[in-house]
Amino acid sequence: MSEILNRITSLRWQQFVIILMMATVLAGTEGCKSTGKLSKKERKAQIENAKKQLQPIIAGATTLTYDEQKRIVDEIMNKNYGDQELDEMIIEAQKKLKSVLAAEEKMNAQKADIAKASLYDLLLNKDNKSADELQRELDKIRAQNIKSADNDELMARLEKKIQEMRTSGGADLPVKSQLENAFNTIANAASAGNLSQADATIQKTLQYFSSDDVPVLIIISREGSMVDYDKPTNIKRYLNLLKDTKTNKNAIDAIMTDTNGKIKGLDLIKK
Amino acid sequence: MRKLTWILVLWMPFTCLAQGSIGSFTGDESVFYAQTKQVNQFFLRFNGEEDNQGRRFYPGDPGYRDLKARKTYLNILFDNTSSVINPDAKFVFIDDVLNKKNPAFLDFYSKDWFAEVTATFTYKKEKVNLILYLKIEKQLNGYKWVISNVYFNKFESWFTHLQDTTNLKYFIHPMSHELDFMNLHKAFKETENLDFYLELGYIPDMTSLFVMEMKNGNLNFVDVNNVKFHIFQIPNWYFEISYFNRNSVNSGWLISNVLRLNDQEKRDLIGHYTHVK
Amino acid sequence: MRKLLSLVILVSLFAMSDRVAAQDNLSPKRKQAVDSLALEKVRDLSKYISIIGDKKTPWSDAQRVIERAVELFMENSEIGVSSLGRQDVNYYKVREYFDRLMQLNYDRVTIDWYKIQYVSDLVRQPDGTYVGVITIYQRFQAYDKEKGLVYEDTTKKDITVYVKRKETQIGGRLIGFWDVMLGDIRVKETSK
Repeated sequence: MSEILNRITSLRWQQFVIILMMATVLAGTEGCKSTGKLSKKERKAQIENAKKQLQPIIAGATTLTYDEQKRIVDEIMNKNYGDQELDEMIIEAQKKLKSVLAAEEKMNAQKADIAKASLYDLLLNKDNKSADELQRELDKIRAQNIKSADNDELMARLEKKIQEMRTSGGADLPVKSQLENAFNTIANAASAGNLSQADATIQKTLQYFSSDDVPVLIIISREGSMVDYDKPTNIKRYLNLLKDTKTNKNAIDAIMTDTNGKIKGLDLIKK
Repeated sequence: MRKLTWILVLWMPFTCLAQGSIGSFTGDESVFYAQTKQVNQFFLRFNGEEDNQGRRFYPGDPGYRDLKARKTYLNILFDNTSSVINPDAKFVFIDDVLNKKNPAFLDFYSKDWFAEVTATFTYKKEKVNLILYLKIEKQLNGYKWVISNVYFNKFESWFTHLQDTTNLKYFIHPMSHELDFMNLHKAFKETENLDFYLELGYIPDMTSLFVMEMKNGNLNFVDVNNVKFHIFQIPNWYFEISYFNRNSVNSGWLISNVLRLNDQEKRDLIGHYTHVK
Repeated sequence: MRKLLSLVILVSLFAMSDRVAAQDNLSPKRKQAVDSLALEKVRDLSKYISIIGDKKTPWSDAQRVIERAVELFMENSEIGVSSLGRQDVNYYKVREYFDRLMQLNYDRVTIDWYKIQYVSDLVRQPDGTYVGVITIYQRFQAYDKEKGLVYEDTTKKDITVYVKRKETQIGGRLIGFWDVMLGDIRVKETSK
């Protein structure tokens, strides 16, 4: 301020009056900040600077996001420099920003569509994923930060489904996990002497199968294309074997379902 | 005693057998691990084809037929309470079997070994003991045990006069042929003397008699009493293995006799065992 | 000389084919898989025996398990039992053996299986079936309400195992499987 005063005192009277008048005009405009008593030189420098900032935006050569670009353009516009060239550039930049926004929105919509498709799949859980697996997939989609009210709703729904899967003790688990759980339950219940629980689980598990004599194959060795099996059995006998031997020695290798979604064939493999 | 401790230490690590187990009972099993549980195991231990936990070695595995390990096994494969096994014979046998140039191995599928099975039968309602000799025989691409000989003292008693050259009473005179052997009926009247009329050196076929008496219903099988094996596969050696059912690490199928024999002596011994000269 | 040479070649050819035939054409890995399958059947049997012998097993369950145990065996299989006290062997048909086990007249019975087992080589029979023997050990204890432990023995069980590779069609697939059947069992009491 003292610098300005010094300058003022060093000026001739007429000059002073003109400056004073200009200052009054400037002070009357909105864009003029409290400190904004700019010299012509300073204003010119600022305009140049603003032009420099707008150039890459117009050329589309900036790495800044749409929001950041928009903030810069808005700021420059608000300053109301009244420079014709600058004003033209502002209009150019705004046009450019509009197209950037359109592209960004398009991309977001595309991402949202992909995410939506994944969310549909996850909700229907066609691949028999476990709650943990579903949660991992959901977290991945969340991390993409896609703006979509639709997807937010789907994600909330999936979140709820995962919670239910966790609390309902596996009723909604994929069939493979449910079967494996049932096999373990039968063996463990029998081992603990709880035969009625083993029997109840056998009855419940048989419901997944199209009949009691659905074939069960057990792979004992796989060497290249050479597969050796144990003697084929059926599901009812196999479940009773789990109960009688009190151990579950096989893992599920493949499940074949019929058109009603019931299991019509089961391949196991030695753990 | 020191020897026993050594054997115990040797067999001890088996409690950590990881391979699938039958049960969960954790009684003291050291005796069962040490015991030579099957003849099959005797062969594998003798050849150094399984480790001390009973896991198979296959050709190419480290440890397969390892001479050092075999020395340990061979010492354990003898009945150590035997009074018939000469300690020097045992030492020389092991030394010879494991000679670096040409170590000897047993082969289930090859000949020169057979089983001696003592069995109870009834002969015309009377309880009797027979010895059956069985050997492994190949058929198609498989194998089976076949009866190679039978010994039954009753059968032998029918031929006691075979070697009798002092008999001056029971014979068919040399001119009988002129009479169409009409005197045969006299010779056949007293069947107990029938064998006087057979050629010198005739070897009765006990197996045929066995089959005949079984088929005629005179001989009936009751039970097996005892089994042992005679092994002639090792050049210059014969040994016998028997089952020792006792609560000791030195139990199961073990060498119960060992003899150093040349080929002629081996043939004689086989003849002695199988009663075939 | 040429004649002698061809004779030598002929003899060695025979010897070779003999060796090949004597060997198993299964790889060690497949052989081990078959061995463990056989062992598993024996383990199943041991569990069935424990269930049948257990006085707490409901009658209907015991009956069902006897059926399953019998199914593990080839027809006409027998169990030959001998004890230290006597020379002779008692033979039981498999079903008869299990029925007797179920009806044992004790208040409580415990059947423990030692962890050890021994699996022999599988040897090919003339009919192409492979046969082996698996040895296991069992401790049996019988209790009376008043007198407590009244009987105890440890037995060695040598179990015949027949293994045959078969093929079958299942759901349009050709399945090559190993049919494992148990055969005669020799039960010998071991020295205390």
